[in-house]
Amino acid sequence: MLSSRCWQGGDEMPEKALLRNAGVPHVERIDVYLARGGYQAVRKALLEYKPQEIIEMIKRSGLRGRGGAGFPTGLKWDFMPKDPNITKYLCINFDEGETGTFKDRYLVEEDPHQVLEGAIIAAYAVGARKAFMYTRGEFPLGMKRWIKAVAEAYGRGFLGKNILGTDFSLDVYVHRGAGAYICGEETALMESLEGKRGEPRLKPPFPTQVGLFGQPTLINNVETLACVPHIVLRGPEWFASIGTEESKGPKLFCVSGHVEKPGLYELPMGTTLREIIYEHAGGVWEGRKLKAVIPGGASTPMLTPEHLDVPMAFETLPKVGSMLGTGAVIVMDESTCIVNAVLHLARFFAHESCGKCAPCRVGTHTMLKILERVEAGEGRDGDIDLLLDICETMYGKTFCPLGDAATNPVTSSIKYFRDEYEYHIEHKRCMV
Amino acid sequence: MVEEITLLVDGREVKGRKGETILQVCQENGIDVPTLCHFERLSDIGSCRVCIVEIEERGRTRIDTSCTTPAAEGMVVRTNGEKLNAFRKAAIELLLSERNHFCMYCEMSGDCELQKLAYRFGIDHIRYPRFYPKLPVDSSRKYFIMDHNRCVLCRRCVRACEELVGNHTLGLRGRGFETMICADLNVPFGESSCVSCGTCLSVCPTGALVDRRSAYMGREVQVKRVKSTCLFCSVGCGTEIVVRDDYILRVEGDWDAEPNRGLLCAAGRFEPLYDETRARSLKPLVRRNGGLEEASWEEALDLVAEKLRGFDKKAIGALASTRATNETLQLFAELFKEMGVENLGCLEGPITEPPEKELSLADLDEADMFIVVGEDLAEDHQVAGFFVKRGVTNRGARLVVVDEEETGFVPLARRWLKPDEVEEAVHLCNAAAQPAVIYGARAGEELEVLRRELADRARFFWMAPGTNARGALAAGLGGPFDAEAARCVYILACDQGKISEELMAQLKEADFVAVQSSYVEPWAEVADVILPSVLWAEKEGSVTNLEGRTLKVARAVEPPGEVKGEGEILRAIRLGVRG
Repeated sequence: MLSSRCWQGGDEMPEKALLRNAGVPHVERIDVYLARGGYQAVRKALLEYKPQEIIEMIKRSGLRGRGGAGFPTGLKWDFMPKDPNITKYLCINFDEGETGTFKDRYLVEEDPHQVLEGAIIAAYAVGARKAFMYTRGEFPLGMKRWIKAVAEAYGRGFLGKNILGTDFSLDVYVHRGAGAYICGEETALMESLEGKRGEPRLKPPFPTQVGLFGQPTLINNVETLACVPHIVLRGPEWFASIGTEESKGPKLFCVSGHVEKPGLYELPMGTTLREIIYEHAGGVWEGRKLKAVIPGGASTPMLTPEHLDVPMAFETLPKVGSMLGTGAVIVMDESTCIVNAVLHLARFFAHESCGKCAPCRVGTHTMLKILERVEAGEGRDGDIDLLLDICETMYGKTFCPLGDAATNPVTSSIKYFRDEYEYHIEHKRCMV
Repeated sequence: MVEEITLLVDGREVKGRKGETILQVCQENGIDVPTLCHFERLSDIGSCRVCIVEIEERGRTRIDTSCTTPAAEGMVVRTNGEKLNAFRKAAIELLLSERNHFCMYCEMSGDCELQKLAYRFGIDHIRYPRFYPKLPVDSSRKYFIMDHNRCVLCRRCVRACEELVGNHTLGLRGRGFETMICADLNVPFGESSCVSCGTCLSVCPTGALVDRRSAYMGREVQVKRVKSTCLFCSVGCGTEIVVRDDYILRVEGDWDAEPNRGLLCAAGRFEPLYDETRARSLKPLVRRNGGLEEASWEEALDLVAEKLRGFDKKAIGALASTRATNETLQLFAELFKEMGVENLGCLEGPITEPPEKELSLADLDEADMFIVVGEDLAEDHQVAGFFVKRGVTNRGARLVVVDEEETGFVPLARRWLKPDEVEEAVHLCNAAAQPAVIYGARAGEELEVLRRELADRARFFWMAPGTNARGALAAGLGGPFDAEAARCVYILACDQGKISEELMAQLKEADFVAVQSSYVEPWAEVADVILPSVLWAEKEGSVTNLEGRTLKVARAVEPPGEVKGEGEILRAIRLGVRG
């Protein structure tokens, strides 16, 4: 189990929000959750605010999507048509597949009512009467606890018809994915929900115009929705007071790899990599030196010790050539073979490419095969340039961002560790 | 009125219409953008990425596929450039490296779109590692094979099967590099729900789908394409007969023709070339001493004229197949009417004149409900059936089958009603805005009920029997034929092989039977004279399809042996009869 051993966030932030209930026994049960003040946000939102006021509140909070792209959440909510006669849906994206990321899993497994509360408020704000929970197939515990939480919420009148005596009604459906990373992409998720092959759709139209079953659909990440009750209860100003200029609020950072205390940390947006790794995660393990760090999950370009002081925020990481992504910090110490690490990531992307567009389908596979031979000491002169050539071909030109993501580990690792690749090719073995 | 927009493409100001893609605007303005997965009649999915262009809009520059990006006012587009072409070249190289593309062994070499792109971008070697995957060749289908080694996964076939035919047989399995085209839940193509319409074959850009008959028989530059009309049912599909050295390689659908817009069915595309096993009648045959023997045209025609002169007019009957052209049927009717013969009819049986003088199958694409009465669209008028199928499976239109028999469309239908339950169909129609009633020859009383109840709301579509039923009606040949009264029978059979047993039995009783036919069978037993006549691809003239549309039939190949044209034979008989 992930929860007790890995989770480390208990003492790190004095005023915790998303991990407020961390460590509370059985908070996944509605009684415990209610005893800790649960569902106050739903009560407040539904009884005291009009839907549009909630949207304005979320806009003022500066909340940006936590699934990786960082799109302003309030703006997305506002894109939903206001006509009450149009059927609208809410999708909860719990297809957390980004390598190194385990925040949504924690949230749903340990504190599902918090997410559900956010979902109810979101559905209320945009006028959706049906919500679909798309669960990653590999999360049976999350699925189980979510289903139970939904049943409990129905029992207490937080779901179903006329919630809290208002004329707002909401039903929640649960769908289990079949194991495809691409289904975390919003339109592929909808294809999959509709029972089709999980492949991204053309955009535009965007889901807020034409989404699930052809209807306007709001889709939000689990962590994004988990932020919502706190914004409602503590006010958007509180949320906006945390973080940086363009990235507001608390963020869950998933620290994994070669650190003393891997785990999930709730910290303000803009916390530096150095603080995350050395102050919270206990530093690189066994007293070793840091070699590389991936700041936001497999699809974000890797960084090196010289970038440790960059704040972890949507606007700051691109300045050093990376991205915040999901905030999954993967730490690699000096003993890491970069070629081997990138090979693993390349294998992941080749395995997860949906096959729809040619450059991604063939490109990811070709990169994998080249990396395999370089790693195995069978690399050829020119292989590094060939890898860069394929990355150049794919980047920005594939159908969906998976193609871009697949190039990031390769280009960034060659940028910083080209000598390691060259050593592999020249000496037919690893230098570390 | 569609809004006109102005774009700047490659420095040139061009006009387009709102709603068009950048690619459409480029094509209309003669700007050549390379494409691979794009096919004009199919939706665009942007999967090959070859058509990418640089787009400048509201101060931002981006790269996107021109086939999927809507054109907008004021857009600045660059279709050419070092970077774009470098990407295109790399993308095509990646495709070439993916599977086993070896042009010199490929049936499509010379006509392959992938190969053309490779030439266009100067690909003389492939810089990426090749994988040589061991992929199967699926030859379980009767008329064409699927070679996965040549497939580029452009999904044109999948889209054609889904969007045009509404059959949804083709799909994909696996993902990423393991992605494969498959049929149904991955069964061999020949055992799948495929109806062998061949639409996938006709849209494949490479040698992945190959017609068995015409494989390796000629490249595009070596063949002649003759636009004609399919004569195997009354839909009247536009065809392109592909010919080399007076030999028919294959039949393709004419993408520009109404009403089929490129679609054909197995009965028109494959069966005439693959499944016709009867021996051609190449010389006139005359019955002597109980057997049919070769004779000269003069002798055969003299015999027919003599008999027609000799018999009492009331004892003469004449039957014409609806596979004949309008011109032939008119001539046929004139010939016998001027002789005073009144017992005329159609070989395929009497035809009831429908109240619909004209109709348009294109309207079926608008219908939100189909009521199919006394007609199996899975067997007959299959291309009209594709209209219904795609309406039901892609647009959510409802289908009700009213039939005594369980037709091939019953599995698609929301309800299957017996003729005496027709009121239920009327009731179901209440929810429909544009119901369409499609009726065939087996429709009886129930059709009258529908006509009465839905007269002001539904459109009615007559699935005419035979081929040129409207032509036969126009020539006055639709009435009943009295086979018992006819002691001397003249039959314009064309290539019709399906003759009712009853008629055959009656013909055996006749004193003299002359048949003008492309084949000896099934006439060898009953005919006293067989006059060799042209086959579908050797005819010239016109037919009137079930819509009332007059369609051109063109000669694609020369008649073999001593075979003569239908009109030529009839005119010779007229001369002979006049003496």
